[in-house]
Amino acid sequence: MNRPFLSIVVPAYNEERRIGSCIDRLRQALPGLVPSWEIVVVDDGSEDRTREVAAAEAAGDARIRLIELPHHGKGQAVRRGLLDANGDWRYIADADLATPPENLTRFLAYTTDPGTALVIGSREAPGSRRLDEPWIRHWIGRFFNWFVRLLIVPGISDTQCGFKLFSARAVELTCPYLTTQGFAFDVELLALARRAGLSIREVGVTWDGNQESRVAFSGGAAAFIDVLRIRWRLWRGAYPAQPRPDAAQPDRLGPFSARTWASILALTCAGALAYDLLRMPVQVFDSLEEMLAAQRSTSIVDTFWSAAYNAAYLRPLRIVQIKVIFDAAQGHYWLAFRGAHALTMVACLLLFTRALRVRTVADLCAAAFALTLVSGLHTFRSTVQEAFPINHFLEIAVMALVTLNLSQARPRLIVDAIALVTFVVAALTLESGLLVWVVAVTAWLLGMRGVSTRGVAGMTALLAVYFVLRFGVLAVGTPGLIERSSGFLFNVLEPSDLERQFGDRLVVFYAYNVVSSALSVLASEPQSGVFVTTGAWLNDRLTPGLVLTFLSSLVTTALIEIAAAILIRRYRATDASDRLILLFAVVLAANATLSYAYTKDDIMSVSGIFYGLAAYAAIRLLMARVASTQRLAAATLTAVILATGMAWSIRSLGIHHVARTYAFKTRNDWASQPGNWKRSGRWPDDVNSQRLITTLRNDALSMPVPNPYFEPPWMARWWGD
Amino acid sequence: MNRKLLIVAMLPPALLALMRVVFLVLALWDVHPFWLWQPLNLAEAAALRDRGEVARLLAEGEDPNATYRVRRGVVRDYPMQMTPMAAALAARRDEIVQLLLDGGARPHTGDADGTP
Repeated sequence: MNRPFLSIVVPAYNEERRIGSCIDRLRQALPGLVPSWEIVVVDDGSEDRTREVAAAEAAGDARIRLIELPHHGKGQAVRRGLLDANGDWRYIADADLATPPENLTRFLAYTTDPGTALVIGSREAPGSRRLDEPWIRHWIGRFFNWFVRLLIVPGISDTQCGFKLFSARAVELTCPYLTTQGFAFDVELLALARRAGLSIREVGVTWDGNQESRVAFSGGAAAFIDVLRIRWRLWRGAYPAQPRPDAAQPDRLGPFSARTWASILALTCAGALAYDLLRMPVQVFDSLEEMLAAQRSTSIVDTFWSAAYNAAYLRPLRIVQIKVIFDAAQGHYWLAFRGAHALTMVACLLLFTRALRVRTVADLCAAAFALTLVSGLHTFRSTVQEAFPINHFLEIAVMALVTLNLSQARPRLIVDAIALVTFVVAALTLESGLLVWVVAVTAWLLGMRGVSTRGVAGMTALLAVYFVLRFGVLAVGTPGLIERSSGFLFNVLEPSDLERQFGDRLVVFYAYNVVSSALSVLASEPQSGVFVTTGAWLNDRLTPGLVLTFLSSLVTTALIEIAAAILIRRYRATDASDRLILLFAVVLAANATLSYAYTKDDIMSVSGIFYGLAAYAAIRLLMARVASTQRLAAATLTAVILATGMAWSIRSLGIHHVARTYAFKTRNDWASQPGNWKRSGRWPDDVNSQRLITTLRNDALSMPVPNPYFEPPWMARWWGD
Repeated sequence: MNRKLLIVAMLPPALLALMRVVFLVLALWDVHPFWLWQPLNLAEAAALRDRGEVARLLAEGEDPNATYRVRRGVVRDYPMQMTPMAAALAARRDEIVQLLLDGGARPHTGDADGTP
């Protein structure tokens, strides 16, 4: 049987006197209005003869159906009727036909507009007329509308007119999530429509208020309570994520779902990076000292407490982790530490992909772009080339992503517990670990309530304990100006230069560090505080790699900014994935602030990963905005994504060059350093330390690392530092 | 958006992923296109500033005082016979000179280009 163009859904409760005439009037009016139709009467457990009357009408006409339900309320009846109806468009009509069928023409005028999904009758919109409405009913209704506009759906002048027209798609996106059974179901339907990004049109209708009302005082009071309940559900993120209107696109691509393809892409990227890591020796500098300390330490507890009392940093768990892996390595140090590094990398990219919540082919396209971006960003390089001997920045990124995934999960006690443990571990590993709290709180504010209010409050309390512990009990300070070198404008300044230049105006230096750190993520310029691309351009030494780096970041940030502007204007219509843009903005600001003491791209690696999340959200949002009928806009957006994706792919390939270059450097360091230490009197006296150094050196020398001499020169031009 | 356009937009990352899959599969057969390693002798390693390879070859017992054939392009545009010490001096790398001395090489007494 072909689908009818229009279904009329008539919820009915004790309407024996009106249902017959209602059906008759509709049957007479509809043939002149639409090419094909059906009427679906939904009996809400009537106690009179409503069912019998409707059944008699249905028996004589195949275009009329009756659905019988136990009494639960109008909301339930409407929900069932809309979902069971077969029409391309579905119209709710009260049995009293207070808005006569002739008004349908005003609704049907919008069925040719591809951008319209929902048309609601309004007694306040231009062209409307109220007839014989009791004044008290009118003012209660206006007060209720003001209440609803304040809390749920601003901008809709009449949510309670019982005549609404839905597209079939709009029904799929709203009705399954409808929970209100009373008279406030209209409010919840409109809230769900807004969440799904559906456009809602209001049309003025003629409304006869002389009809006998079914709204008793108790029902009206319950409606106010239902509005509060809907508001609370929206606030705590109780509604499941809804597919976008364009999610009519199939979510399968060939043999796999879009989600599976995204995981395959992530595993491919992670596998390639893990492969590189497992061909790189452990570092000498930054790593050996820690490993020697781990070897000398007698226990994990001793390690923890000795690391807790540090002049400038509170990172005891960082040292404890090194100790744990060292002891577990049983002499296979390279395998243990590089293995841990590779596993952390895999976890990072899988968690990143999981946080994207890929459902459709459009999501997959955005996810592919985002994954390539993450692995191509210069802040990500440090997660590959550095390891101290554990790459703690990568670890913090993993913990931030764990927190994001927890925020996106269903709220449970175990979720809160894991979030709190994650925060404690992160905060005591690196100062950047405080970003875990930033992610949890921001996600909560944006409606991702997997980590509950209780969990966020608990994490905030732990943050306060951290500050008391750090600045009060342990009196751990902050990094000073002369801690290490830092980039400024076109050069890297040594601590003595920094002291000379900024000794009496620290604020300027710190402000520069914060701003340049943020710009490093957004524009890849400056990098670690140095304006590399600008300097190369001024000195006529610009390489293709620098141009590509700068332009790809610039275009991507522009896409994110455009999407952010749309997001802010249509905030209520956005979903959790869209709001990843706002999450990134907050994480970026916090991360940049944490890096006030000196500039180093490593510190911004967490922001870099969240930049990938923002790019995903931006592309997804922009693709959803472009309708299939807007060919020029669709082609332009595709071209931009294609070109920028190509640029990021080239950048992403460069990470393998970085890994090889760093492996070569590290192996060379191992070749020379032990000899240097022996000559300078720094060779350790104890046999265990000597054995450790010798083992690590032999591991490094036995690895077949390519010599950069044999690489074609264009690699250095495109991917070199 | 149209599904074809989405697939077109996905092409660069998809091709990159395919390339990586191919390289990972090749690695199972010990073929490493991303990590192409070329064997070097002691003199070539010294000339190419490859301290790691110099140290490894010395540890394996390569003679630091022997003469090795250095392929074209490494030191000059023609192949040469030279000692590792001469190659290290040609590369102007003190650390490699020190490594060779630690490995038992005799100090070089000829020209920097390897001519004794």
